[in-house]
Amino acid sequence: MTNLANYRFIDPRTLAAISDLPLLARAVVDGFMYGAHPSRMPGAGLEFSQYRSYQAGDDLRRVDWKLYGRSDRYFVRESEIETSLTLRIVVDATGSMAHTDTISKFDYARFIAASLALLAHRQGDAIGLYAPNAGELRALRPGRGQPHLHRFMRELEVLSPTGTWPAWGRIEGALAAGGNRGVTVVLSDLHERGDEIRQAVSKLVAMRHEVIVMHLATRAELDLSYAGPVALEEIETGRVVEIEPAEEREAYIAAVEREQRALRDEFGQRRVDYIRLVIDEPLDVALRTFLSARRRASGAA
Amino acid sequence: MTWLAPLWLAGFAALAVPILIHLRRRRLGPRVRVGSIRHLAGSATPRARRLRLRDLWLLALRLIILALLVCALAEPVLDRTRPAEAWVLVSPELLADSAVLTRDPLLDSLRQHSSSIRILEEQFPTVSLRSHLVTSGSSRSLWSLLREADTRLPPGSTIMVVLPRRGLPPSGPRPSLASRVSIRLAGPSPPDSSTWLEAVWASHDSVTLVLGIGASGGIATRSVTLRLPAAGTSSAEAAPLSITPRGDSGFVAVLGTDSLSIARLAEAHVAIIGDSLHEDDARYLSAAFGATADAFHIPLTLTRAATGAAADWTIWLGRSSHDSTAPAGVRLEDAGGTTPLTASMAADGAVPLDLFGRPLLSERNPGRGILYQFGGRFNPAYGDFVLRPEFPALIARLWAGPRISLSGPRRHDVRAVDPVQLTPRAVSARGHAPEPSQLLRRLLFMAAAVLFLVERAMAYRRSR
Repeated sequence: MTNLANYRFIDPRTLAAISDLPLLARAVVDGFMYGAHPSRMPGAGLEFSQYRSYQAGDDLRRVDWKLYGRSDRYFVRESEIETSLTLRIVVDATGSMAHTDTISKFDYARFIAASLALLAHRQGDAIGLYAPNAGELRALRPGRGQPHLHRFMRELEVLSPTGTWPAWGRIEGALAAGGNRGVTVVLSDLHERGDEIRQAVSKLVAMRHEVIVMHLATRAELDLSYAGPVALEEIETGRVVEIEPAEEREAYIAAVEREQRALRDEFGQRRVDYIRLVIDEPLDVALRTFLSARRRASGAA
Repeated sequence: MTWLAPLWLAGFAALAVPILIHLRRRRLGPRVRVGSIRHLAGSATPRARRLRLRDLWLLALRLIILALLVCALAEPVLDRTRPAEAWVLVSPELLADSAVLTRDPLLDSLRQHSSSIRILEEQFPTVSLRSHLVTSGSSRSLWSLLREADTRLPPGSTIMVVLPRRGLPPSGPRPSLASRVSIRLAGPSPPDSSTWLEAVWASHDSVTLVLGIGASGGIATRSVTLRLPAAGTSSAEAAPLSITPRGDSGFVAVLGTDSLSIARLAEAHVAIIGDSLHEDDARYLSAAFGATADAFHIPLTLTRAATGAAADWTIWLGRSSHDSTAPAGVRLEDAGGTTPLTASMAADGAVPLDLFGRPLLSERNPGRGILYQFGGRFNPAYGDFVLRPEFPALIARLWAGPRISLSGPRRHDVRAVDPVQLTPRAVSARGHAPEPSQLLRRLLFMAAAVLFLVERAMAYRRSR
């Protein structure tokens, strides 16, 4: 039994809210989920399919000891297993994610990542963690099992947001590795100097990943809700601008909304699921809403 | 501008308060680390600059309001007077002689150190002492010229007047001036004494010359009687005095540069017409005419009458001579009545004046003879004029006509006059105090109030 108390970014309330919801792929490409993605690939599973001779490197737990007692030979059980999806979680660990509004965007993203990872782990899906950080990509390749989950959580905990998003060329290899297509969830504030994040998303789509973009934002980032004059310092560049929010608010909100519409249009054209989460909203509600919508859409598909 | 309450000007130190507050608030609010400023970075700097500029306007407005309040509380006063000046007025007599300009220490000092001085005459023209000039001189008295100079100068000015040592003291009352006046004497010292012809009287065969003798101690007169020379000849019995013929029947007495025409004074019959109430008047008149006749050896016949009489002189006391049917001659009337009279002499000593400066003696030519009218009575009970030496002199003048000069001594007066006696009184050097300007104070308060309302409106807009 997984001891969730050991994981810092597992919020029991959030888990309770989403534990009954599956993380479904919009299009079942490889099969159906655990109980939902049946697969024709032989391997470890629940229903017996056939025996084969033991080969070096096979999991000893799959050795049928009863048959060994009867035959004095090592045979491995093969079952018809469900093909689960590979969940890749890209957690933006660049400097801009350190923006804090009671909780930092980065911590909020880690909560989401942990929750989704646990959900996927329960479904038997493989989970991988990718963190653009300080111009590089820290990657934990997809894997299954409790030990992998543990490694996932620990990696999540040690991350610290800093630096900038690396160019696609530096992260392509890591993201393309693993082979299995699957669902890639990008947790980011989408603050980019050029279009490096959107380029990565489009590349992932081209690699036939199903991409979900969770756009994280603080309330102040959306409506400049500062009281009185304030000096804003951009974390990644250090630039400072002194403003009177009352004077700038109207134009600022209009610019944010324009950008929002542009993102929706762009991601919509690429069939990328896009959701904006404001980090002052309860995470459980936000995730439940999102997953419910995906289930309805998947069921409709 | 002056300040009636200058201690309030220390309030300008309070201007440092809004400046310090402004400097402290220049760092706008807290610094917040955010993910991106891309929606602000495009024009954030100009907006921030506008914000700072608007704060600077507010700061300037607050400083101006404080400055206006401080100025208003200090009670400013506009002082419109000109700055004091210093004039040097030099008598034109000193400027006529180049030797005087170089020899006299004061004039030589002015010549070397002053670029220009002013001449003590009309309009006070400026002149350079390095190039002396002969001026026309001024007929006005010193006090009159100084009074005019004082009106031209702002209060607190100084005037230095340079007069010749050899000169007559100024006549007339000494004025009070706003400027500080100092009188210095320059030029050659007056002679020890001088002699001049004061008057000349002639009888049928002799002439009496009155000589004026001036010395530092005073002025005296001396009479010299000479026989009239035969027609066409001159007489120099009392050289340097001389009598020379002039014209058909006249003679001229000459003493140095002085010359006076001599007219014969013939025997005169004087009739005094008056009643018993004018006995004293008649007596003083008789004494005056008798003294003149005795002094100049003129035969005189004095008669008293109650009505008009035929005479060379008729003096009417207490009545008008209009009704007289007496032949024309010289008539003298008094004013009659019982009003006391205080008389003084004019500046030239020739005409008596009343308290208001009006002549007491007037001359008319009513068609027949000459009529003199005296504005008082010839009785000491009604005025002290008859007790003064000017009274018989006036009678003598009237008797002899304009041929007698009674104003000569002044130009020969060689007595030294202490300049201290010439220094006119000066009023307050300031002349006048500037009037406090309540209007200016009110304007400053009003301006501060208006600007305060503007500042509040700007601050309210900024806080929104």
